[in-house]
Amino acid sequence: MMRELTAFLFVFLIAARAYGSELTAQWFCPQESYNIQQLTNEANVRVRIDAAGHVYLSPDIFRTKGMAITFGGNSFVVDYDECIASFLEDARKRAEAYKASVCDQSEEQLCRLPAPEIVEKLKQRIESSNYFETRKNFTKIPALPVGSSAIELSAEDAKAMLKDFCDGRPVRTRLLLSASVSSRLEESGSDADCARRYLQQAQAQQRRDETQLCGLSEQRFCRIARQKADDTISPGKRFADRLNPSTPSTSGQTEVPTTSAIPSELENVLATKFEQQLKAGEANISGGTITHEGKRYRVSDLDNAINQRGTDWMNEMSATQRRQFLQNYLVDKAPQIRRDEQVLKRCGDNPQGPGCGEAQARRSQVLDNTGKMFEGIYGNKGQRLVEELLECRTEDSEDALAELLKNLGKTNEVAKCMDLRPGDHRVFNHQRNDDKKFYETGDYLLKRDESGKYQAVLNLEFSNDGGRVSSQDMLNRARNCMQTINPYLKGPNGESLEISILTPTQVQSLPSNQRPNKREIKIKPSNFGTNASNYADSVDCPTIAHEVMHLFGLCDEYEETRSPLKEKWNCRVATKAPSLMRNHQQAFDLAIPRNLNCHCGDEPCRSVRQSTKPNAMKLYTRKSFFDVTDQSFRNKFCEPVQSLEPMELDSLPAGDRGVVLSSDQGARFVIESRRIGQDFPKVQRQQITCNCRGNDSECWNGKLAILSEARTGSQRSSCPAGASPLADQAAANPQNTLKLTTTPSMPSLLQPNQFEKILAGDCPTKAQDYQDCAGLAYLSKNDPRCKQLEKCHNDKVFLGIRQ
Amino acid sequence: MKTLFTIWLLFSSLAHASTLTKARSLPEGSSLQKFSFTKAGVTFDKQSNLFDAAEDFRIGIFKTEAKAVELQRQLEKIRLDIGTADRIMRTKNSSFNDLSGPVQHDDFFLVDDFIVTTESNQYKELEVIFKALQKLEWKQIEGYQLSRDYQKVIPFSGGKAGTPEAYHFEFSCSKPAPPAICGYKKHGILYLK
Repeated sequence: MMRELTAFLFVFLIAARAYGSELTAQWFCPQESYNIQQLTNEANVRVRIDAAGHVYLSPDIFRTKGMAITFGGNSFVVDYDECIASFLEDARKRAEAYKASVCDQSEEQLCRLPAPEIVEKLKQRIESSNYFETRKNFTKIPALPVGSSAIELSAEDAKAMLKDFCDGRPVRTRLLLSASVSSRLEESGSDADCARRYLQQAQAQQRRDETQLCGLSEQRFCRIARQKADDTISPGKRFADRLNPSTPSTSGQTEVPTTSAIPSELENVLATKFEQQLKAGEANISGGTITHEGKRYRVSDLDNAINQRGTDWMNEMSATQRRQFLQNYLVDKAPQIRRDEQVLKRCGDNPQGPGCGEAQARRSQVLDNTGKMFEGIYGNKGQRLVEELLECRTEDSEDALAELLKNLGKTNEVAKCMDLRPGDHRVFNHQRNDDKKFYETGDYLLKRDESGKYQAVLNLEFSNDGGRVSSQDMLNRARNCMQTINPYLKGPNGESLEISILTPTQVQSLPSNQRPNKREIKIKPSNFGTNASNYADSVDCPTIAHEVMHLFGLCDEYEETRSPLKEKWNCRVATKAPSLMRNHQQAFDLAIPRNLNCHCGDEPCRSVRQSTKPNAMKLYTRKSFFDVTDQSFRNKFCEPVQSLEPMELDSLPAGDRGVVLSSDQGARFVIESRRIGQDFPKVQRQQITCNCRGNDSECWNGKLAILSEARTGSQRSSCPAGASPLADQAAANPQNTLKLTTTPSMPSLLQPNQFEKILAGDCPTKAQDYQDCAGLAYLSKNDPRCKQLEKCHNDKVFLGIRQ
Repeated sequence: MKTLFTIWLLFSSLAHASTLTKARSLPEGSSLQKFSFTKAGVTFDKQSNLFDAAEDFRIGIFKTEAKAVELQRQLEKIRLDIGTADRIMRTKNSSFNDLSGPVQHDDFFLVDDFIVTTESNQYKELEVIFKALQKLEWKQIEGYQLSRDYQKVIPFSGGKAGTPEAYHFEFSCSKPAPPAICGYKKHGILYLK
């Protein structure tokens, strides 16, 4: 068997830990098949990433190799994307070569030529080819010849492998994607069923490779890779087509057996329709159906289309949609999977039995499609490549390669993690390839104006779904709310952020590279519990602000206490500092100053207004026990109120306080809550006994808030009972109007790390503490990830608070 | 023998106790209603009235005399499909639940421990089963019942109604007057209009 002589391996070891740092590559020069341990002929390349993302490659390597004559000039610019593409191509070939040579064959066949001969052969090849441009400043890294034919099989081996495959015996999938196998499909005497199954698997492998390769590569490279793979399996395809001439050819795509009752022509029509809907953002992922000529079809039945176009479809979906699409596909397929499993169990050692081939093909297709979609969701290509390499682990360490791949990924993230400079903008359209997170960065445009201010733009479409507020009114309410909060969205270093809400129509007038994806919000009846996608028609500004922040990737911070949610999400860290994502009303009160005009609607209010007692107004406008606790706290930890004898205001100790601590025995404490009522100048008093048993943090945090109020007293942020807010200040009658002014005690409505997270978008290396902690919000304590992040219980780490 | 084993497998999985929970997590308190199928019958753990089709001020644990066999069969069929999908995902070190979400403040179902979001193909089927279960005749075992005028609360224990108690609206609810979210001791919440 003739093996192509030289397969070049080059492995870049990137030390690009930060943008602009030095990148070191090791250039290995093996020949034929190889083993890393034997690769002694290497040299270092030093490259530098500049601001434009290029890599400058030192020429020293070539001199070291005695190849300076080939390259001429002293330095040249390398196209960085091409570097990555070349690397990935080589990594793939390396994986193949490992499997074909290192694992399957003896070491005698490995590269053992002395170094000078390798250099000489390399030089000859380069000189006889047009691998390098001849001008002084090179713009591309040399496309080194990497031989995939290392997995060339002899005719006998190829035929034997095909026979194994047709007989249902395990075959190394990657070997299927080989010209030597494909071209011998006809000679092997395969029947139509086997030929088609073979093509299905070869094609699936081909698509997997493409997905891996194209994940970090540019389009041109993908096209080349696709063409290469198509060429490789085309002999087999021609044979399979001849076996069944009635099967229409699909523009160079390999046909696979149809496992559903949908004819292939119709499947193409349905797939195209679904694709168009996806691109228009109208596809029904949740329903999982597509309607055509009055009939409904399940998308999950379009197996061939999913096999061929699934990767493209996933590129059109958000991370959530991808996961849902796969979940729906698998559940739809579940009955068939179970039936086929039963058939295959029955087939046992007789794969030629009735229905066995079909069951195997169907099962393979579902698994293949699942694998493909899985990669679309969790497609950490670099990591997978490493895993493939490690399948045939040799004694030498793969750490260097793993580190390289990790760094490649990191370097790719550099662009999306760069700070926005004044005048810059960035669009975040849902995190893609984000691993298993239940919270996500949403869709928004982040801009920075020339003065350095940040502006975040959302594309929201409101529609009525049973609410009593029109979509226009809700839009106005949301916009007014953003106007209210915008002045108080401050970063830790004084940065400003303004949130704007545009409609889809208005977004169309933005430059095409500045359009965030649309987010739909339905307006529901007032008793509906508001969420980020559904607003009750009675929704208030603090709630809108909380929900809008979810669209920027902020997570909930309140404690989940109900079974079984408690068990599922008990890893969530409940923050202690005031936070919009834990208690939005409290955060609002503390961060946003208010100038309220309240109209006195009852006698106590008017009496207080006219009273000369200094404590009267203070007590009337201060918070009571009911303002500093919520119903959950009161119901769980306190006993119902006991009325105490009313007292004259003047004779009350701490007469300006609405909340007074009567006794404190640690877990058990007694509060006196005061308010001005009908019998003013007497003060109504109520006694409430609360008890914090065990380590219930909700209770202890509540107690802290009560004690704080009892110590310092604070002004209400809303009109007291008996008074109502006046919308029109001009109409205020001074005689009957109570003016309330609150002074914010929080410097910003957002805690520092929440602000940083909004600026970070989907950059994984920024606001890292916040992202680490937010990742816990929807995990169980049993999840191993939960144990690693004790730091999150410190608000200084989670939220970045500074005191 | 193989056939016997298969039949045993099938029946053992069908005999598995199943639960169907509808839930929504909100800052003011999480709502959930959970139906459990056990050998002793069907129980209903109602921790909120948020999902009630008709006005009902009862919160707590309920039992029914009805067998709901057909509903259980439908639920277990869905659970079997989800379980199969989960099994496939586990071969890839993932799970059905890894594909679910996010569910911040949105309704979702739990079929045993599997999260089914509104985007799932199974959501509508589960909604039908859930509504049918709600309509069964339920007898209160634990919890409380609030009077329609919000003045009294009747505690329930061991299937028996206790002595009515005065209900302190301001103390027990999020606002001094309706509409408000209200509770009673450690039991679930009521949305009052």
